[in-house]
Amino acid sequence: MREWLRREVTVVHWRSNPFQLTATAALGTWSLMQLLHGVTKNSVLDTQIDTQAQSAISLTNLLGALICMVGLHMRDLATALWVEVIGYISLCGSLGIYLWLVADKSGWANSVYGYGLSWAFMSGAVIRTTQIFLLKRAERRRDELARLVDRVAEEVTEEADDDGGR
Amino acid sequence: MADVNALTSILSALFAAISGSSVIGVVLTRRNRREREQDLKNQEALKEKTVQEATDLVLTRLRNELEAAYDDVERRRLTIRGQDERIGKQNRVIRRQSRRIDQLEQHVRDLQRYITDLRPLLINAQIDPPPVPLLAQDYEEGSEHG
Repeated sequence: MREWLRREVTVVHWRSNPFQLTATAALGTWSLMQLLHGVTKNSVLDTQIDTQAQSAISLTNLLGALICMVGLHMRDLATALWVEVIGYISLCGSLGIYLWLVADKSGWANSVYGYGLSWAFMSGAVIRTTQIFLLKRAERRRDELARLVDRVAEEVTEEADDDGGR
Repeated sequence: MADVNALTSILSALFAAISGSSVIGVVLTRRNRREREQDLKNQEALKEKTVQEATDLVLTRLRNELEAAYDDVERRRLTIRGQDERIGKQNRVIRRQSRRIDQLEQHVRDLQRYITDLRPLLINAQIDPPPVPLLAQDYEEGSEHG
């Protein structure tokens, strides 16, 4: 178990980017509390949708946060980034529904602190997702370039060998 | 109201399903990648082992051939040394015999000179002088002159 943890798990993000981790953990905890105790009384979610839909949003939120946390603690970077992106996409979806509901029914005038935090988190998630996609694209491009360089080097070597043979 | 509830539930379920299936896909892809990497590593190790075994085999064969060649050279060296010793011994015998021949030649020359010096005295005393002893080379010179 200890060996597995050492091989698969890292906590480097808690040092390098604690805000990302704490925000995600807070979101997960908030979603879990909503699932266990229900949403805040007289809030938009409470007044506009029924318990089943509230639970669905909270569950999706919790799932996204959990996936995101798993991705942020994986040592295998290539897989971790994809898992992180999946978590952000899920969170963007569930948070988007919530934000859309609040914006549609209440608006900024009656917004609470969590509403702003949700916007901030979703913006951060979009930015981070874009970063990861750009990184993946750059890695793919780098691999293509490396393959191209290898192929050209191989062709040049073959030509040099042919010239030497003649 | 009912539409919003349904839409919210459906969208939530959709996102949950997408994220869940994506995670499963990523995990499976990762496992496949690891298995592929492990296979490649095993193949590399096997290839390395095969190459190492083949190299060891070739090296062993070369070493045996080298040892056999070395033994052969050593045997020939000993034979040549024996021949050298025999030749040295024969050379020493030849040198000894040469010296002996030289001494004998010197004796013959002395005798020739002695007889040549006595020849007029013997002729005056009406004694037949003995024949002058000749060396092999004198015979050869005589045959050449004759």
